[in-house]
Parts: sequence; structure tokens; C-alpha cells
Amino acid sequence: MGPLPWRQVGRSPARRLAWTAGLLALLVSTTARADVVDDAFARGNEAVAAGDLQAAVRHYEEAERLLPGRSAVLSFNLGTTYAQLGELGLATHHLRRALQAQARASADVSESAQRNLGIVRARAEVSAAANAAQIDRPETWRDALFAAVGAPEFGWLALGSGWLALALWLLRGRLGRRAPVGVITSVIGVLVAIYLVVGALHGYAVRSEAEAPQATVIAAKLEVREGPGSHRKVMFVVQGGSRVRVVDRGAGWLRIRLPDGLEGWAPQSDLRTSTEVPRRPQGSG
Amino acid sequence: MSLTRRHVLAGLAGTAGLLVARPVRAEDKVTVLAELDRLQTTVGDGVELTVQVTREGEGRGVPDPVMPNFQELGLTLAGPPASYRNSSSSFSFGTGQQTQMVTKTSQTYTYTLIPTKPGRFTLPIHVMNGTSKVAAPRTPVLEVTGEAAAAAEPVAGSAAGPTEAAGEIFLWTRLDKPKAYVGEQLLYTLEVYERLAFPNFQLRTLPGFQDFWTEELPEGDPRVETVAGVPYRARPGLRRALFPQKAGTLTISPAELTVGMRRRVAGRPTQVEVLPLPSEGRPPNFSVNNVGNYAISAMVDRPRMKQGEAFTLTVKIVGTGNIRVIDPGPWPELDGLRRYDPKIETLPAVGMKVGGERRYEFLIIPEKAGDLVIPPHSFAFFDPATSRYQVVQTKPIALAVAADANAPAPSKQADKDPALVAGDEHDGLLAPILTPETLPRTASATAWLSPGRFITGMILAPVVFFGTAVGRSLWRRYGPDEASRQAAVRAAKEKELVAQAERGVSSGEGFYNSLAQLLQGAAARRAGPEGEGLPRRPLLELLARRGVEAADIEKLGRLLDRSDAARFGAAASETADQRSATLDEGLALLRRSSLTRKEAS
Repeated sequence: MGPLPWRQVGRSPARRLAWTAGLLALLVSTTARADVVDDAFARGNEAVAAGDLQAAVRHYEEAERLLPGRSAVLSFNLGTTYAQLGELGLATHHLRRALQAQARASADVSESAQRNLGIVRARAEVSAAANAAQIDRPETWRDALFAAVGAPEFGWLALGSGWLALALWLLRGRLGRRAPVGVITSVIGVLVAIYLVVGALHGYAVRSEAEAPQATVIAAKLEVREGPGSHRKVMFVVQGGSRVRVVDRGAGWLRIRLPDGLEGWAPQSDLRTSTEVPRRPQGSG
Repeated sequence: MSLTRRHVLAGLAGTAGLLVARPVRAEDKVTVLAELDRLQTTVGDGVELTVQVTREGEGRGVPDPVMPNFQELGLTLAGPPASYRNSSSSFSFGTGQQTQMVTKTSQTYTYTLIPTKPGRFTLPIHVMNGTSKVAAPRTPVLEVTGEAAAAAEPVAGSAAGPTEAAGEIFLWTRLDKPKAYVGEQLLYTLEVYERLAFPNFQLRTLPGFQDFWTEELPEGDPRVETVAGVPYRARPGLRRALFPQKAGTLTISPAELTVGMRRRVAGRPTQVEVLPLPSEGRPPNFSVNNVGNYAISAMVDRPRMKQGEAFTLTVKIVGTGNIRVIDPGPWPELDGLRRYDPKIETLPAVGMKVGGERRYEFLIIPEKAGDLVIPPHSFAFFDPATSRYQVVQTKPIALAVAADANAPAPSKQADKDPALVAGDEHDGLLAPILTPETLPRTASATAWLSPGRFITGMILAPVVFFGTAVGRSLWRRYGPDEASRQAAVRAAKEKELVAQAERGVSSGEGFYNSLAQLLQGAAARRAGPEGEGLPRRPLLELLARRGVEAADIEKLGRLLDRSDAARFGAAASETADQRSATLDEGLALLRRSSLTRKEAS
């Protein structure tokens, strides 16, 4: 068995050149992929300007499939276009994605997404009242708090506080010559409080999301049945755009729970979690 | 003898031949018997006809008897026949014959026949055994006396009870009124009057309500009533609310009762005179379904709301009549309010009459701010009690609608499905899409801090804390021995002396004293117990014997001498640099020389 490839890189000028060319090709291909995303996004914008909302949705979703990361602007445009089409479930899903911390929305995008999400929510409430459908209760400060503390930054804050408090405690003998003991003790107390409170909240939020991930109803009206199967009795109907928790999974069916405790089974295709993006169509390459 | 294919084939053919030969044998014997429990009866008094079919042989199936057409004979069957089956088997033995198993199976049917006309009726009964016909050896003949039941004459509907006793059991029909308008509610009651308790009676034929809309009402309780001096028990048969659907003389065909298996009791047809609704005073667009007595009211779930905020308007129509089919009429136009199709709910009232509440719930969205009014809604109905049309109205409802900049813009598409309204792309409410030249994006980085890592990190911190605390405690209790403690004390003292010497480098104060203590101590430890109390020269000689190199001994002696001299003022003119160099030399002797190396080993 010969030496490992990366060991050979520096030995032969020809091989070094080949490796450099390969790396450059990789970089060039990444740029090309970014261009493809921008092209699809621009085509979506043009379709909206031309009034062809269906085509706009196709282009935006293509851009979202090609995009390796997240884009708050893209999610916002997609959600707004769905809202204009009257598809309240998908509109809610994408506008919420635009507001997620991972999307890193700017202040303007965040404000616009909040506004449109509020309008979509009002329409969903009207539709639910007219159709006697169940809808989730509006988001409370508690929901917002748990959504915020579930972000990784709060996890790091709790961990950092805990370990820093531990380090200060271990080194307090040496630090005592440079700072008063009372100050160090107070700092340790504050750090321990942050560690306990923020850590508990973050852990609870992460655990809740892991055990019962949140999903959005993307169908206009979701028929929730007493068991997994279309032949089972419909127990109630949920308005599109409602937030639900997925508490169990079957083959193609999810057991969902509304915030007020109502539970039942619904087709997986009518629900979408916050991290899900539209699947690539077959044969689209 | 070995079995060959030829033998096997011969055996199979023989078996098949036997199987085929069995049906060729003589057919089984089939007989039929038929007899009546009575040969004479009267019209309406039932008799029982028993038919028994028996099959004797190897077969088990019994053919069905072929009965005459009872209806043509004027006999009515009271329900399906009772039937039971009996089967027994025996073996027959004969000289030179094969032993044979014989099975005898009998099927018995019992029919209840009720004659409807007098006469002498012959009842030929037979069975088919294969293609041959087997008749009963004796054909039953029934002689019926009496008169055929005449077709009952219809009577006018009345709420009055019976005035003449009519045997042990009879049916009585009541109508609460003999005349009614089209759509007016009538109360129909069918009662069974019986002098004896007849436990086994049932309504065989229901009354015919073909010209009426009917609603079931709860049946009453049995009571005792005296009819022409004869006490009867009046049992409720059924009770219905009837709503005539056309004008004219309408007839309700009679009900028929079966008592036991043999007896039938029929009621009499009832007539009611139905009047058309008067044309005089009829409101325009009046619906003929609105006959009864009704009241109407309207209410909203809240009178104050924001622009674009949905609220509920509930219109209730309450009263007696055919509440399920009433027509509320056209709803009034609402200015500045968008109204969706109502949810309609009927809450029927259970009682002596049909009535209840019809509720219309509208979802309404204020499209403009200010003081708005829901205008009154008129509901017209015909009151049969007064024979007049009446119009009732809801009260106008005032609304205070606060302005809201984010409210949906006014839409001309009222009464439209909300989902479609939501899809209106021209409402101009949504913040417009963003069109940057390049799409801002964030990298897709997998979060390092997975839930598992987070929990591990969170648990590890207190574990380290408690581990360290426990370790320290254990160390304090069980850690060092006496020698180690002395060594630690000595090390601490040395550390302190070094620190004093360092502090004295600049001023010279205490410098040589500390240095001398450090060196003297090191020399004494290297010399061991023998060196205790020795003067300097013998001590240095002892060190030489202990293996300390001569250069180190010389350096030690020189530094000790200088320290002694300094303590008596000889080093007053030394600079800080000189003292620093002296300290470095002393520390080097302490840390990196043969004076302490062997000691360490």
C-alpha cells in the first residue's frame, strides 16, 4: 500500500498542479451553483411582476431546492406568493421559515414577514370560523420564549456560563491576590444562575422539539382521523397554517396534537416541519 | 406383489365407477302430510295448517312443499310459517344383500291462515321428488262461515274518543282538528283499546300518510278509559305531527294490528279537510313552508370590534310549526360589512307539538370603520290560529367599528368563500416581495451543539465540580504522610524565603539573610543528621563526603561567606544588579547542582 494521497501532493509538481486545479474546479462549481440559485430567484421575481404567481412559486421552490443554506428573502417571497395564491398553509410555513433564527433575516425582511404572517393568520382565522375548522391558538409570549431559547446560542450561553463558573471556582485561590474574594463569588453566583435557568429552558425547548417536533398544516383543510388510514373516521378538521406537534409516526401518517390537546392522525404529505423544503421532482436532475 | 401403474389405474376407475353408480340407484322415498287443526272456522278467525315432508333413504335433503295460492282462496298468511326439522338413521340387514344405512328426515311447517271470506276451501299440497309429484294422501278442506269484512268507511278526523265498545280489542284514531290549512300542524294519535291484556300484538300495517310531511312525537302513557260503560285500557300506538302538503280532502289509510298469530284488527281510514292558504294579505315572496307561530331575534357576539375583525351574527327563529323547512327569506343588504353564508342549525323541541329553534349563524367582517348598523330582518309566516299572515322583525343592531390600518380592504365579493377571498391578489395588503439582485443567504452549517453534546456538557460541569470538591476533601483527609507534610512545609518555607529574597533585591533589606537561610537549610538537609550543629568548614567537608561536587561546595561556601559579610555591612555598596546576580547564582545552586540533585534522588 503506497503513501496516502495527501502526502503525495507536495512531492510532485505535476500532482500539486492537479490538486490545485481540482480545488479550483470545486470552487468554480460552487459559484456556478450560486448563480443557478440567483437565476431561479430572478425568474421567480419576474413571474411575480408578470402576474404569473404559479410560475413564480415554481421558480422560488427551485431556488430553495438548489440553495445549500437558508435565505430569509427567498422564504419571505415564497410565503408572500403563496399568500397571494390563497394557500394559507404553505404561506404560513414559508413566512415562519423567514423569521427563524437560522435564516438570519434583516430587520426589513423580518418586519415584512411579520406583517404578512399576521395577515395570513387573520385570513386563516376567518376561514376556520367559516368552515368550523380547528385552528391553533395565537402565539403567546411563552411560545416566543421557548422558540427563542431553543436557538443554539442559548445553549452555548448556558454551557459557557457553567464552565466559566467552574474555572473561576477552581482558580479562585490564585485570583484572590488580584481581585477581592467577594467579587469572584458574586460572579460565580451569576454564572451559575445563568447556567441553571438558561440551561433548563434551552434543554426543555430542545427536548420538546426532539420528542414532538412542530409542523405546519399546509393543506387548506386537514382532516384528522382517529387512526392512520383514509378509511378511518374523521374526528375533526384543522385549518391550513395551524401549528401542530408530531407525537407519533406511522407509514405515511403522523399523529398530531393541537396546542389545546386534540389529537389524531393525518397524512404526512399535508404537514411540513420547519426544516423541511420541497422535494426535488423526479427527473429534474 | 408389487403395485404397478396398471393396478392403480384400475383401482381409481373402480372407485369412480362406484361413485357414479350411486345416483343411479333407486330414488329415496318422499311423503307429505297436511292437516288443519280445525276444519271449520269463521271469517277473521285463524286456523293452523301443519305440513310435514318426510324423506327416507340415504339422502338428507327434504324438498319444500308446494302450497296453493292462499290469497286467491281468500286466506291471509299471518306471518312466515314456523318450521322445525327432525332426523333419524337406521341400518338394514338382508341375506345376500349389502348392509345399508337408512336416514329418515322430516321437515314440519306450521302456517297460520286467517280467512277473509266465507266458503269451502280445498288446500291441495304436494312436493316434488325429482321429477315426480308426490301429493298429500288427504287434502285438507276448510269451511269458513260468517260474512266477509266490509271495506271500512272513512271517518272525519276528530279529537274525541270512542263512544261504543267494539269487542275485546280495537284501534282508535284521533286528529286534533278536522280541518287545517296547508302546512298547518295536525296531531295524529293511534291508540289500542283492549279489555284484556294482549301481550303479543304489533302494528302490521302503519297508517298511510302519503299526503303529509310527518314528524314523530313521543308516545303517551297507557291509561284506563270507560267506553259505553265498559272499562278499556287505552295503549298508545303511535303519535305523529302531520303537515298537509296539498289542499283538499286527504285520507289517512287505516293501521292494522296483529294479535298473536291468528287475529287481525284493522282501524278505520280518517279524513281531514285541508284548506289552501288564503291569498288575501299574503306578503310578497311568501314561502308556503312558513306556517305556524314564530318569533324572531338577532344578536351579535360583541358590538365593538376592529375593522377587519370577524364577528358572529346569530338570527334565531323560534316557535311551533314545521321548523325544519321554514324559509327565512332574503337577508337584508349590509353596508360596510362582508357577510358569509350562514351555518344553519335546527334545535327541535320535544313535546306535544313540533317546534323549536332554527338558528342562522353568519360570520361578518366589518370592512370600514365607524358606527355601522345591521338592519332588521323581516320574517313572514301564516298563523293558522288567527288565519292571518304575520310579519315579525329583528331589532337593528348598532356596531362600533374601530379603524385598523392592517385591516383587509373592502371587497365587493360578499358571500364568497373565505378561502377564495383570501386568495384575492388585488387586495394590496401584503408587504410586497423583495427583489435584490443577488439572493442573500446564510451557509448551511450543521450545528455542532447537538442535543446530546449539550446535555453532556451541561452534566459534565457539575460532575467536575463535585469531583474536584470530593477529591480535595479526600486529599485533605487521607492525602500526604508526615514526611510529605514536612517536605511541603519546607517547600513552602523555601518559597517564602525566595520571595523575600526577590523582594530584597532592589533595597537589599533582608536579602542576604533570606539567601543564607536558603543555602544553610539546603546544606543541612544534604548533610543529614550528622551535619546538625556543625560549623561551616566541617559541614562543607561532610558535604564533600556526601558526594557534592567540589565546585558546588566552593560556590556554596563563597555565597555563605558573602552573606555573613553582608550582614555586617560589607555589602552596603552592592547594586541591585549584583544582588540579582547573586540570587540567580544561589537559586541555580539550589535547583540545578549536585547539592540538591542527590537529595532529590
